[in-house]
Amino acid sequence: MARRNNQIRHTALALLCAFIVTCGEFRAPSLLQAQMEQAGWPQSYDSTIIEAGSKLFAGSCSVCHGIDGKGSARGPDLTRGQVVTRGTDDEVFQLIRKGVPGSSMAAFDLPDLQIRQLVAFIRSLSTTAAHIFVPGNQNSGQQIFFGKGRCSECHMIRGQGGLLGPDLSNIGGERTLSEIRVSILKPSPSSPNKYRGVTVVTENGERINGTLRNRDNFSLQIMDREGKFRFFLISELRDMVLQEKSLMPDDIGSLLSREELQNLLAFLSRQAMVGGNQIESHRKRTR
Amino acid sequence: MKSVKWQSGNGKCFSLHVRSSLFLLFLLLLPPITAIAPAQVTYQDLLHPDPKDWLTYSGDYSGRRHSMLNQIHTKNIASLAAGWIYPVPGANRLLVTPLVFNGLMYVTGHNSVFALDARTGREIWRYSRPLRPDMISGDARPGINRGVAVLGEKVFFETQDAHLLALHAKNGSLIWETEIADYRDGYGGTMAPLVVKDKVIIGTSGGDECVRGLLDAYDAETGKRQWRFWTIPAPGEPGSETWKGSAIEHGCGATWLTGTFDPELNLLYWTTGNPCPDFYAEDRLGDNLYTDCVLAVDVDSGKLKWHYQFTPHDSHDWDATQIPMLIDSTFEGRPRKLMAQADRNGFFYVLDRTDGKLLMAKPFVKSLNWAKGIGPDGRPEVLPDTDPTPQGNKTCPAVVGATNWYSPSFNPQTGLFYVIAMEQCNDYMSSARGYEKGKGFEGTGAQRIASEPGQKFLRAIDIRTGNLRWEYPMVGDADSWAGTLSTAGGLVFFGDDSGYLVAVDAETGRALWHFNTGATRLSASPMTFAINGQQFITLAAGTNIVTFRLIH
Repeated sequence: MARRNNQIRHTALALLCAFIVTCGEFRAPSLLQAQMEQAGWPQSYDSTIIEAGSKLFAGSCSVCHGIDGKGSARGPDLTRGQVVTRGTDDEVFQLIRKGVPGSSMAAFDLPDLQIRQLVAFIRSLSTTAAHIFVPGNQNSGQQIFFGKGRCSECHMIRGQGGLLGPDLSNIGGERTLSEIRVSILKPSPSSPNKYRGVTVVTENGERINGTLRNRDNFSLQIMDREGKFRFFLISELRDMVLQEKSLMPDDIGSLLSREELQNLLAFLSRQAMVGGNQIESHRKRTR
Repeated sequence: MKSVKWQSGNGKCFSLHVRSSLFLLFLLLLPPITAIAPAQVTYQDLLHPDPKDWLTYSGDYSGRRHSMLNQIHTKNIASLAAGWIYPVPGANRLLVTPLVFNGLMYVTGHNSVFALDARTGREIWRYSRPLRPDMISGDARPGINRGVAVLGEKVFFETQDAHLLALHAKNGSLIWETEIADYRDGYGGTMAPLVVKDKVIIGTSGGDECVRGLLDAYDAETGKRQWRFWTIPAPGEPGSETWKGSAIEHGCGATWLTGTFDPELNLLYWTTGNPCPDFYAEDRLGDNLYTDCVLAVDVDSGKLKWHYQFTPHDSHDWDATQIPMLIDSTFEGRPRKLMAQADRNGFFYVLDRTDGKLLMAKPFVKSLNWAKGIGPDGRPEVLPDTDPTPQGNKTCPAVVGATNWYSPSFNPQTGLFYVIAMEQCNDYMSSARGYEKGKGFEGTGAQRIASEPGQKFLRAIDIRTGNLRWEYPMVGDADSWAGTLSTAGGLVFFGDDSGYLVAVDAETGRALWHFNTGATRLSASPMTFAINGQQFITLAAGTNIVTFRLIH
């Protein structure tokens, strides 16, 4: 068993190496790796392994755990469970191989490689994008962010960009790859009280359009269209209309090619702070 | 509010869709938000702050921590009540003085910055980073922080590990980051930076961790360093002759408290901390410049104009890091530019801030046995047998000082300097131990005397005479670190030794109002601001930001 595991590790490593060779852009620097490990972060997984795991998961696991791993009436949420978020890879591996006695989680007698692929996929459900390998060209992704994709008209990264939407300087450190992808392709307000369009009319008749920064039953904090903060008590307002839909365009999927979207994801995934420094800057330094 | 339309429910899907699309189109047609200049803090604002704002650590460049707001005054203060509380995420002890500009408040917690609606305490954005677990001991290690500085659209913040950050004032996005010095050498960030002109002026902590003290100016736009003044001279440089022994290599003199600025003289006034090792002085014979000093530094060049040393050859850890307050007043019959400081060593000093000449020095505590007084030459007349010994030597003030970094205040109407004073002595002990990288460099320490717990007081000192006008004794454990705020409402606000925010009459010291914050050890100084003509008082109390206003 141990020897087979080692073989798989070697295979995975070889695959990873092959990727690194073919995508010179994405060398996995040992310094970064060491920092991640020091910070107690999980190891990186090759995207091909995650993808293979995703297919296996859809076939074998999604019926109980849901296609997104967030659980259903038949099985628990795998993005939050203690074992999958804190246990070791081997613990998750054994859980799949042996099942959970006394529960509806059966034993899965799959080849080791497939179970490893499942582990990688399950990990990716709760691992933020910065900590997994995301293929694509970051430089092209950056150009899309600040150009064709028009993301920077509303979003900021390290002080560059617009103020209307959330700052994305740490998006790779906060969100999983899947969450980032979904938020681009099927945008929805992440919070009912933030970044929604809002129009208010004050007691003296002034009409102000802006986006929410915060809100409660007694007060409202918005950024107006000129980028100025306007804070109100609800009692000072004559009228308030909240926009239901996200201000984020929902046609980005058709605007960008598959490759462009992947490049954008590669760029966004690397937007993360490690002790305040961007992972990207560490990468540059280690080259 | 007369009516609120809540757009929800399935029946409105179509109209909602149209509405939000139109709204989006409308927004996209507008020029990018960044291209429009919103209201920003300018240098002119910092020079002449509107009383409704609180734009620097001490409220203005003079360090007087006196507000011209007078809506809350001696006659109506009974109606002062808590308006909101913001529990700072991750905090365990707040030292911050919040800043407020146009109703937006900035507070710092442990390695984090939060922007709040100052009227309601609702959060607008936050910036946070994990604490480094491998910091050398010292104040920076747990991540304590005294606040930010602002200019333009930027908020400046010192991290635990001595990096200076510029965050976007509107969303906390990190614009630039500069490493001030290597945290592995003992440097840390705890103080609020001070913006002057286009510069961000900073010092660092590490005053018991063997650093070589520094005062830096950084370009606010780019984060590039413009100048550095070392508070410990290199061997051979002027001042190095005041260090006999090897301690100069790790001499400390840290610059961990925000200074003050005189625009007319173009001088920064910045105080420095103790020499290292703190309590063992045999390996650093001499005055140990520029430790325990106030430095008058040209803000454009970083050159030292003059210095005054409060405690030459300090062996009691009496950092001079108290606010060097700038007061323009008649002194001995003629108008003068003064600098007043109640020092940790127990003396209240008044200097001529144009040249650093000592005009007056008087004790402001009774527990003072290390010096007979300050001589006409400006040097303390040190009494014998007051140095720490291996067995312990009772000396006063205590190591926490007759006062400390927490802010005093000054009311020009009363001419009184308000300071929290501590009556306490300690047993001071010393031992010879060499420098070891990555460790504290105290040379042993001081301990409380069980039978003499000590006591805290709010004292009002007449700056023309140095005499005590009145005092307010506090009940408590003599273990709090809260400062004062003076207002044109004739009030002095301060945190007392039992966790209360208290307001007293500025003329008499009579207690007029109090509020139990619930904090066991207050460690910050109050501030005040106004929104739409309504005055607020804020204190960082324990782990909460607590804000008060009048109720009618």
